[in-house]
Amino acid sequence: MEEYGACQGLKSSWPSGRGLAREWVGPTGWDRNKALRPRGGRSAVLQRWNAYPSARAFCLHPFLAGRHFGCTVLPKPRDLVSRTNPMAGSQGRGRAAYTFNIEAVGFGRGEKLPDVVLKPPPLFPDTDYKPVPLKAGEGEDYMLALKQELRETMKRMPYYIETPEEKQDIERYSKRYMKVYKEEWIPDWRRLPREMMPRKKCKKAGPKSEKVKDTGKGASLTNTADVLKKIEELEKRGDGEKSDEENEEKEGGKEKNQEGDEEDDDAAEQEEYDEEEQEEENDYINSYFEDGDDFGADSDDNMDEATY
Amino acid sequence: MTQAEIKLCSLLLQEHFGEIVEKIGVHLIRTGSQPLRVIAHDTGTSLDQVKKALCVLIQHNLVIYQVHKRGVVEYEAQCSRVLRMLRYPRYIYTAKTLYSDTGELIVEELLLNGKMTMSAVVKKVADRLTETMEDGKTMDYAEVSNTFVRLADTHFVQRCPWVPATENSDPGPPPPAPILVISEKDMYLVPKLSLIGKGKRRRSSDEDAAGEPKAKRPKYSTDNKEPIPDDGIYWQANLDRFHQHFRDQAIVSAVANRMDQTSSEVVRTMLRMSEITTPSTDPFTQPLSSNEIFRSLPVGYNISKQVLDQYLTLLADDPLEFVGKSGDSGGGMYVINLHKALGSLATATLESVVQERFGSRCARIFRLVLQKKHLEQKQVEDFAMIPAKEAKDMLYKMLSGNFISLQEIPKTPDHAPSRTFYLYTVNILSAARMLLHRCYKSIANLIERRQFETKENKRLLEKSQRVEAIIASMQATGAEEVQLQEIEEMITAPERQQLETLKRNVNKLDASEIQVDETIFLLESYIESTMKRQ
Repeated sequence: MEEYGACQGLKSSWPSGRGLAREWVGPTGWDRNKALRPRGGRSAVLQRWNAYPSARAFCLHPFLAGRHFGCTVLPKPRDLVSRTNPMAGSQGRGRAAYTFNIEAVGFGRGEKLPDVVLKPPPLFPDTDYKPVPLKAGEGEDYMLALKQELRETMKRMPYYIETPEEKQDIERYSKRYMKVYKEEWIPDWRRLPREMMPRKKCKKAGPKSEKVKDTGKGASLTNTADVLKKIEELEKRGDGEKSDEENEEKEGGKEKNQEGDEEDDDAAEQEEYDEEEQEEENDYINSYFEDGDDFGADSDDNMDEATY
Repeated sequence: MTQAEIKLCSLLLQEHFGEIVEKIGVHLIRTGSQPLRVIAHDTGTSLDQVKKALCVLIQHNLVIYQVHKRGVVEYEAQCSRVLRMLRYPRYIYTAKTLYSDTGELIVEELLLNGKMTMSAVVKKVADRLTETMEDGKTMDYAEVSNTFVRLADTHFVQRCPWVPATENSDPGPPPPAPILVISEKDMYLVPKLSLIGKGKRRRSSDEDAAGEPKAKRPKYSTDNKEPIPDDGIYWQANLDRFHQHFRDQAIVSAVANRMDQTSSEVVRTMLRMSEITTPSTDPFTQPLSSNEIFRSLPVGYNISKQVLDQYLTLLADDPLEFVGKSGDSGGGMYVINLHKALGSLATATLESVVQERFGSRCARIFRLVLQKKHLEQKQVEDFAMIPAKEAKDMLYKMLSGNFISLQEIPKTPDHAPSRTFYLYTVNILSAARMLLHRCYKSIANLIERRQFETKENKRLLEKSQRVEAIIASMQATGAEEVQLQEIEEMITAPERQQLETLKRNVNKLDASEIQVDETIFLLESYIESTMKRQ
């Protein structure tokens, strides 16, 4: 009915007998107009609702949460016996009374109802009935063995990425012999977004990805010129380079060129790379002095020996 | 995705791929579609690791990517596909029953690796089979290829979407991600390969020296420098087809339980005939005439036409309505009501759960309410012939367990509780969903418990593994009985006892997981079929 106004949506989930609404009987008896209008408007209704934690708790019981709760909440039973007229909505709060015919839901008047449960169910509840034994058979046994085998196999596949363990204080001798040797897996880069490709300068499995890219993209013609340039540069810079380092640089360069993104990391990486390269290439310490510099003149104060 | 599903996905990913992949995967499942950098930022992992994890997930068809405008690629996880990982043993076992060991290994390789080319699969499977054969015998590639082709013909394996071959006249930079296409007719097309060769037996001397395998293996894998003939054509296991097979199996066994072997054979024949003609999501199969069924019955079954007709009539009249009669031409046109069959199976599952949880009287009330659709409190007591107090108790137990729900029917427009009917009813769809959610939780609990048990006894397990390794190596070098016994005694009797208990528990937990998964399959199929019809 339209008189309900704001409370229309709530009417089926209201706790009963809180003097809230339609069954409210004022001091002058049944006053229909007063009864149909909730006191104080919707916010007041909600306040009153929130003020009765027990009823709310019952409504929000985990078992019942989320269900469309058709019937009104069963209120506390303690005042059941004293109620002669369940329709006589209270003038105060906290008086339990039913707004409906309790017979309809099957309870007799004056019957002891179970207490309201105010806490979540126990973590390991007792069950009255023990579970049925599991199916046993050839198929089930085979699947069981398969499952366990698969679990072990998966741990050894290259797809299982291990978390890098933190350094242990003592390096155990046996750890060396317990390492699992995994095959390297290279995804097919043609099927993946370009941003997936790692951009490191050195990759162990470089030659393989190079091959894949060659057969797939076939766009290597444009890059060979760049690569040659890079090789020349590197040759000028370093003398004692090993051949595999060269290879790494080659694909490092190739990769960067192929990606063709103008990202800042590339330039930064190249710079870092150059520095490291220079550092590695010769055996001499960077801080080596030439003859004629003041060697040790201002360094060791207590040095009595002559310098040579 | 519910919390239970997310938890289960997290446990599965962690078991199969490790923690990093699990972190990324669960994050994607929780938050939906996200680009690469956001993932790295939100999960706090380095970009490099995120890329690796995503590569693994995409390889296994657990994550898909999409290119959005302005070149942003977003990644989305497929939660339901992650949950399928529970069912891998069942898929592999099914392949074994249908196509024997070769088929089993093919499907296993495809499931473990996500996608593979046909040549790679054939080679690996041939190698594995050769190892199990006696010395001197090898498995020929041709045989494995044949089995592969048969698997493709019956749609158990299918091709993955592939990169379309674009001409090189494409100007401008290449797209940020390839758009993969797939066409229906090419999905099961096997490329013409001539794979000649035999399986290689892996030499046992490879594994002796500790340092050597590492050096040897990478070379072994890049052994063949010749180009792969079917490069770019990847295959994956077609899980939907397996599901169709499981569903058929469930229906046939239900009919066998309810009626007899012969009627189940008839139903199996009908299902086999409609495998290719009917898509698995249809509510019922194409009508089959009695004559066709008669012709397609398996060779060993020689029942006469009249007997077949009688069986069909019996099946069609059964209240479970698995088989329906849709016409009279051709000796009677019969269809299998797939949706109704799944509904009956789901209902039977619910009934059995109620029975095992609450007792047989509760089950009686449950079945009663199912049958009569809506019942009042008083009527329940009368029909079930159970005393009022107990009936009330049971009803409320089931109500709090969400198996039964209340439907209110107001007599007056003001919905006064005193003037409203309250009827008990069973909403099968919502009860099925509730049970499914519970199943996910159970499996998560089972996995956790199993991991806990294994962790508790980790030391003992490692010790026993070492002892076994020692014994094996000593046996290989020919040691005496006395020495072997000495080594075996390294594990004391109480430790042995502990190991036995651990093994028994872990087996039980594993077997439980497999069986809960069967229930999950039934419930999911029913829910899917119902949702498709709405």
